Amino acid sequence: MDMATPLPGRTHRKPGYLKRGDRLFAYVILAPAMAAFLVMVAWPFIDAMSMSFYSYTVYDPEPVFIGLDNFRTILTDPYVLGSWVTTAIFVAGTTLLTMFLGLSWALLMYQDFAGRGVFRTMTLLPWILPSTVSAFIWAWMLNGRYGIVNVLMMNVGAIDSPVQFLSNDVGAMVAIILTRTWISIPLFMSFFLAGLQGMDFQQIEAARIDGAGNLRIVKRLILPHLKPVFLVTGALGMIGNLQQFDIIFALTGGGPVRATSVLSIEVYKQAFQNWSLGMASAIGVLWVFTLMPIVIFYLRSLFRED
Amino acid sequence: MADVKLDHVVKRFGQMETIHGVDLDIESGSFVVFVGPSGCGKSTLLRMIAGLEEVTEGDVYIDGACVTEAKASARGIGMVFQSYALYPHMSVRENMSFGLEVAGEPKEVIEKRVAEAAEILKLGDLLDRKPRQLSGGQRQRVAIGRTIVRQPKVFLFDEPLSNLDAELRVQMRIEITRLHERLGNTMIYVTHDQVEAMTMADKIVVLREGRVEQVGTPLSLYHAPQNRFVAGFIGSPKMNFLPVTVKAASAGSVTLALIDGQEIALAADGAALRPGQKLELGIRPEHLIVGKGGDVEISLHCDVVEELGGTTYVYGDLSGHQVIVESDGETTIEKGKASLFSFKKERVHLFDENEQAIAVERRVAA
Ligand SMILES: Nc1ncnc2c1ncn2[C@@H]1O[C@H](COP(=O)(O)OP(=O)(O)OP(=O)(O)O)[C@@H](O)[C@H]1O
Ligand SMILES: [Mg+2]
Repeated sequence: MDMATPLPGRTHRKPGYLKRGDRLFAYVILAPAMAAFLVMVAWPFIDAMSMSFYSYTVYDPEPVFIGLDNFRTILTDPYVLGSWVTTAIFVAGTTLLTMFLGLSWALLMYQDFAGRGVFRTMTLLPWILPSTVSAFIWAWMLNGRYGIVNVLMMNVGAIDSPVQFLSNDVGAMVAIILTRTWISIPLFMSFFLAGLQGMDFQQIEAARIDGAGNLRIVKRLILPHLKPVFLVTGALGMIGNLQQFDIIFALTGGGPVRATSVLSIEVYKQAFQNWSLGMASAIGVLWVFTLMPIVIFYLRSLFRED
Repeated sequence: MADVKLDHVVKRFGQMETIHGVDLDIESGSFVVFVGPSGCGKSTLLRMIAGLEEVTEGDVYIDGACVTEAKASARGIGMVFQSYALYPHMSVRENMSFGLEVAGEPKEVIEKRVAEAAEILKLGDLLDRKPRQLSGGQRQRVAIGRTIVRQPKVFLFDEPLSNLDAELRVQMRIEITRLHERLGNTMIYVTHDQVEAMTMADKIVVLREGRVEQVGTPLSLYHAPQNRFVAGFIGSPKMNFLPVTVKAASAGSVTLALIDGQEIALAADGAALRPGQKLELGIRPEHLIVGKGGDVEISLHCDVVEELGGTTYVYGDLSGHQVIVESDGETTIEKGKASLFSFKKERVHLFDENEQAIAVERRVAA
């Protein structure tokens, strides 16, 4: 057929519009995925949501409907409420530190130097290690008796005697933030590096001719260019860190006492230590609503055409 | 205003040498064009002058001072890139004032210079726009404006027009020429478009594979190319090359056998030639005459005739060699048939086995 002749019926169609037959066909292809979604995601979620209106502990032979009591308990219990604060500290600390270090590392890896390829590959190491392995590596490094961190800090004279990092509140929080950051840097660096490589290098050369130094180039050219990458990595980082469980559980188990008991740990404790499934569900529901705005923001910025 | 001098400049990327010892003198205030095929090292040479690429060996002088080790910003140059390289997050005004801001110029000076540049380049209405809101030609003007405000001694252009459409390219070409006349700065301009080179340059530098092939005014390159490469590169359509054999040679005259068997006697320097030697005869398409009228007549079998209205191109065949003829639009040549063409002996170029030109006596001024 002549390429210039428009195909009949395909010219003046609004995007997104399907003919009746097409629409039926679309549902048929969608059906398996929809079924899987309903069974695997939607049903457990709705089930958990309904469980949040019940009291269901080891003392209850059957779930007992208690309305909003679980939520009332959560919103009045300073311990449970505290885990929102703990979560906020962990998420903010980890996300900001990861973005800062990921960007710095990406800027370094963007430079032209001998052995750059080897370095870039080595950067990915924390990513491919199982996170529990990373957690134990860090636990070992931070160990109060044998840990390398104590040795180094004593050598520089920063501390006089070994510190039990994981058994004080601040030390434990710093430890989980550092470990999680260490694991996340490769992914973040990859995002930033991809963003940097999408930049027209001649802009930087033009700025050099204009006399701009490194700091000014980063501030006036590179950071504005990376703004979309910041939005995406920021949202992704927050989502990932809000869900974080394994590293914290392996490193501190939420302790000492409740110092690193973030939401995921709190749900786990309610469900599998206190056997209070109703409470666990209620915290889970509130947790989902905490996540939701960030997820929506992320998806919107992902699909926005610009 | 400043002169630029390259003293045996060499560039190596790792082991690979791409510029092989270039010597060049660029006079103050002149418009010099670097031209050559893709990959010949035009950009590399320009970037070494700009200070964006390290010089491996040799020295670069601007305004008499050795700048081989100087930073790009300290050389007194301004550069316009092929991609324009405008700062995308800044307005046109900010793009133009950036360099002055970095230099710490007072606000009034910045405003005055930006206004002047905007006036020269007719950018007055666009100052608050972002680069993405501009057309290609406007972006190009901003890129030029950004270099003007810094009042550089030397302007460097790297294929600034190659992203523009044909019509705009002609228009911008003229604007840049006017700008040169108005500012009087030294300008070095890189292109692979020989029409741009011919029309804009005071002096053309023809490069091939990292070496300077010839330096001269546009017309001297056209009339007296020193070798086959320059002869083929300057002029469009390309010069025709035909194999010839030396029959007899002396200091003032050479007799050649053409592939169609006929012999031509030329007033050329044959002192170094011997009978039997293979040479190449060059004749430009525009110097071939339809019908009689020249000193030498050849019969071409014409297979394609392109009639452009004002000009007609005839693609003919002489014993297996393609010959292009450029003629006025009045010509009527029949396709698929043999037709008679001729040329004057003084229009002929001769090249030896090393592709070097052999002097041919001409009555036309070079
Ligand atoms: N950074 C680099 N590393 C290695 N080789 C390079 C580099 N830059 C350029 N070259 C090589 O140097 C040679 C000259 O390149 P250059 O860009 O100067 O050519 P050019 O004449 O500007 O070509 P074009 O018309 O395509 O722009 C080429 O062979 C190119 O492959
Ligand atoms: Mg180039």
